[in-house]
Amino acid sequence: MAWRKLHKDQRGFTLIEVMSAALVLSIFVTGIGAFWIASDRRINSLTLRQKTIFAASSELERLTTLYDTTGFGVSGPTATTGYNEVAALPSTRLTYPTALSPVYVAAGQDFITTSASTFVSGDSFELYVSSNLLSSLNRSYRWIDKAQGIAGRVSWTTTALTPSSCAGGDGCGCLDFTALLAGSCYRLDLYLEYPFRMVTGSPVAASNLQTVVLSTLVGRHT
Amino acid sequence: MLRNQRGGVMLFVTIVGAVITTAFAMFFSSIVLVESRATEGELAKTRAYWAEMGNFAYALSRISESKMCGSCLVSGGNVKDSDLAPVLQSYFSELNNYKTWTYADESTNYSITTIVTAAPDDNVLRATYSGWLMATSAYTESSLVAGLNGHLPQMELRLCVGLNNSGAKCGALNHNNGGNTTAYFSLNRLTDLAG
Amino acid sequence: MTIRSQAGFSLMEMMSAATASGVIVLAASAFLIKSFSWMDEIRAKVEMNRHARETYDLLAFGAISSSTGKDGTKNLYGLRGFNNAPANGLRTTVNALKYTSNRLTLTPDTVATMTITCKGVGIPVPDCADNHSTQSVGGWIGSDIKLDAGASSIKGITVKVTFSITDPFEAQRADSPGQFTDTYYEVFTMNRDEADPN
Repeated sequence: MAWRKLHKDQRGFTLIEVMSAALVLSIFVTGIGAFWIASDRRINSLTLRQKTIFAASSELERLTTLYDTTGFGVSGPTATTGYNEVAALPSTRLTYPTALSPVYVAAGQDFITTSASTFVSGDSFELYVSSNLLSSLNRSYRWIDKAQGIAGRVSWTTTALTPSSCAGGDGCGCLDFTALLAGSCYRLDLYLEYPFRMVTGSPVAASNLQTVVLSTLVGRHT
Repeated sequence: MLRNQRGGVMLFVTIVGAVITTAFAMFFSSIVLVESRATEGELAKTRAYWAEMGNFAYALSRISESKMCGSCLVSGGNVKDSDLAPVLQSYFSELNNYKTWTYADESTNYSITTIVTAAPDDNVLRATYSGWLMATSAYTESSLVAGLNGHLPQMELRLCVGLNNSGAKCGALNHNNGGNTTAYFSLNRLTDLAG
Repeated sequence: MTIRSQAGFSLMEMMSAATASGVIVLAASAFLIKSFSWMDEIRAKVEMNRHARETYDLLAFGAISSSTGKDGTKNLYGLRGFNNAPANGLRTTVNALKYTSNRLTLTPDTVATMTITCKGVGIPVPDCADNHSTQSVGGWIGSDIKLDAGASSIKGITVKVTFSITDPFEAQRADSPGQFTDTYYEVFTMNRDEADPN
């Protein structure tokens, strides 16, 4: 009698239930793994974005130095077209010429190369201009993370400033980029698009290009 | 026998599993979200820097062209610092229609507005005709920018004007250095006041 | 109560079901244990990102000290406010970031010093020169910060800066420590025309 009572009151789990429960929990644990993977990818993407922000700022340092202290703003940049990947950005932009020296800087200060192999084997400060028969198809690239083989495409636009108010009788002119006459200062918008990878000597864009846009004003000064 | 298995443990296990999974998801999201905000905050900081430096670059180019001539009524020698500063201020004021910065890859609610104030150098030892001036940036940001991590820089530039030639150095701050209006200047200090 | 009404599972059925379930549970357990190391990696990457930001911001923008410097201000100028680039190094003997400007020095980013056993050149931290020697590490700057404002400086006013961020905690434990060192290559314009207050 006591044994029967004991048997009736045992409402525990059967082995089937325990095994099924373990299986279901295993499925959840595997699902958690998917979160790890997604987070890891997202963090890698954020790391790359931060490197791109630094790279864009570094590029703007070089570019503003060229505009502000040399005659680069006269006719240095190459006019290029065909930037159609990102709809919000202009399709016509400026990019680096095939060389900065001897016109704008001394030979040792020229960071541009037109050789893909020099770009790949040289240091991370090199900038690569891929030169075409039609210069409007030239493109410039700089490293964002050379260890991972990730580069970014450099281009910019300039717009002459037209000041709204002009207090003085001097016409509100900036020094023009020849440093000889009155001219205009420019608003400069820099676009660094990424990621690009060098595949057999040619930069290849990822399917989903992202951009870092930086803007400033440039003007030649003495 | 199977009829007696109510399956109560499955409900319990499913709930426990769902809670654990949700907790992990929220944990990961918070790490990723915080880092994402910090990265975009760094971009905003960089953009603010270049906006403020752009204002300075414009003013320096104006000095180079106009030779610190505002209305050109005060020129030549013996111009007080307190008369030179409004000329520098007028250059910054010319940028009133360029003070709000928006970016093509951001929404219209993302903007940084920069304002620069020029004045004679605020060092108490400054002489009346020293030629030492300063330009201080301030900014306002839209709600989208304000929601990101970190503060934006406030760049301050100190310079001396009225130098004799390119590459000349400043005269001492506590000396009268001629009060000249020329195209030449020397940058003495560039600081981020926001630290 | 008769034995006929016991419609349970046979021993073979139970054993096969238990084996199958056991394999799945074992795999899930291994996955769970591995995922803890993934969590460490994700945290480490986020930390390295943060320290890269701090280092970059100090180099770019400088800082404010509690003491007064040579020019009478509390400013440490960023490289953008320098006239001549500082010398290479910019870190303490235990790899903490050390920035000097205006005769003021900041070491803002230190950790408790740990001793790392080297396993080869650059393994697990960049300063390792050989097998078996040790490195004392109390910061995140993996190698001397290199500043190049020489012949390649544009118009003599830009400086190329190379700095490395190393996570010493993870590097000494990881199978591939190289993933916990990240190197940055940046350029700054040194805008100051007057002499630096050194």
